Amino acid sequence: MAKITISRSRQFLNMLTRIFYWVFFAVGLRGKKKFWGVVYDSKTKQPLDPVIVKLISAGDAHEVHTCITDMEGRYGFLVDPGKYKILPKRSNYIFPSSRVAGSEDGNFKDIYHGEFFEVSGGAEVVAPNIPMDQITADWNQQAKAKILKYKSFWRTLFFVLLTLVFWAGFALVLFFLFLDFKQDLAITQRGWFLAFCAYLFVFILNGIIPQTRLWGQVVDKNTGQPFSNLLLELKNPILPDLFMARTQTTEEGRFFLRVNPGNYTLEIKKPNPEGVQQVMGRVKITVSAEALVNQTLLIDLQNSI
Amino acid sequence: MKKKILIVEDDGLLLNVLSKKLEAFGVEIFKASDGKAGYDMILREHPSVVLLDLMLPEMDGFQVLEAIRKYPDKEVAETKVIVLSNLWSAKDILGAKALKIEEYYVKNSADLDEVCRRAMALASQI
Repeated sequence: MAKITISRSRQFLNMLTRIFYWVFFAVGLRGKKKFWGVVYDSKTKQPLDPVIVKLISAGDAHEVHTCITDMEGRYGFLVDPGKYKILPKRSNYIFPSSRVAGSEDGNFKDIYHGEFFEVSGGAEVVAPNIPMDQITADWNQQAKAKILKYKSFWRTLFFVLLTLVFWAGFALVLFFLFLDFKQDLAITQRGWFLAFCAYLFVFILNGIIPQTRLWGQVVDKNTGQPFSNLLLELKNPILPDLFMARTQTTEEGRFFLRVNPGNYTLEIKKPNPEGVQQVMGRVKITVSAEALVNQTLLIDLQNSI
Repeated sequence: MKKKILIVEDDGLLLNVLSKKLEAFGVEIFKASDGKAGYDMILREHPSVVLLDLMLPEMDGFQVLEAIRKYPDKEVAETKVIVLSNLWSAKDILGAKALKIEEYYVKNSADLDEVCRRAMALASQI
């Protein structure tokens, strides 16, 4: 089997973007749910499952991908450039929502209403948030509310307060700067100016630091060439006969693999000339709160284990 | 005689999707949208394979599994069961496996065609 390692530079970059994401999110500079799309109840805001989500190509209206949302309503597609639309289907619910009309819905940004959209450049992850309207009672949603711990009131309150403090502080700084300016004081020598510069620095950082990458990639460690059409299966080490998630790499070696946080073994397979999937190698993966595998995996074909 | 497959799933849409896929294999399909109805159907119809969700009204999937495994009739007690659920924790999966299921598929990562092929393969063993 080939030796598989995780790119340390990509891991460091992922960690950096993750830290900054939470800082920016905490002060209200970035929206929530950027890692995945969530299908949710437009009234209660609870995630919906199981929802069958289809990605439809605009050209010939064929189903490019189909997936089922997990317990937390999450889904996503890694798609090649083109024009598409998304069609979610769930018993007792209808889409598009007549209750949520805009592009934002509280904490949910990037709201999808059924329109066609275009993906350009390389393969990208498509995962807008999708509200659906309930039309009849749904046992599953009521039961799930008892099992899943949704974002607690105190946690939400904490983030709201933090956001308020951040923006109130900014308003205060601007106000005192304005007063200093009006009184012809040397504002560059005042504490308010330093605070203003600190705010400016945070805003610039927010503009520079990229969003967390949503896809992972498999490349040859020695040549840097991507591996296409590999099968990736994520397994729980204590349940080796069961895969928790499965995906395939694109022409650029990219993949989108969503799974709940935890420790897993990633098994990489490739088809032999007869079309039978053979294991190339395995690597241990830790999945953090983003609930996706977005590392760069390096396959060393010259060193087998 | 046609093989019988029972689908126990409270989500009507998924129930119909699975049902249509299995019908294409030429098997007789039975459907139940809660655990109690599913359990009653297992006793009545003796299906070759049961596709079972775990989060169900009336009786959950674990209760259905426990009830059939304890049932005095050997044919019922040894019913082949495939679990298709969105419960993903090791505790839930190991709990279901302890009740002698054939396969466990997590809905959000499962290929429904593969689930149906597995159900057919199991049914054809009987």
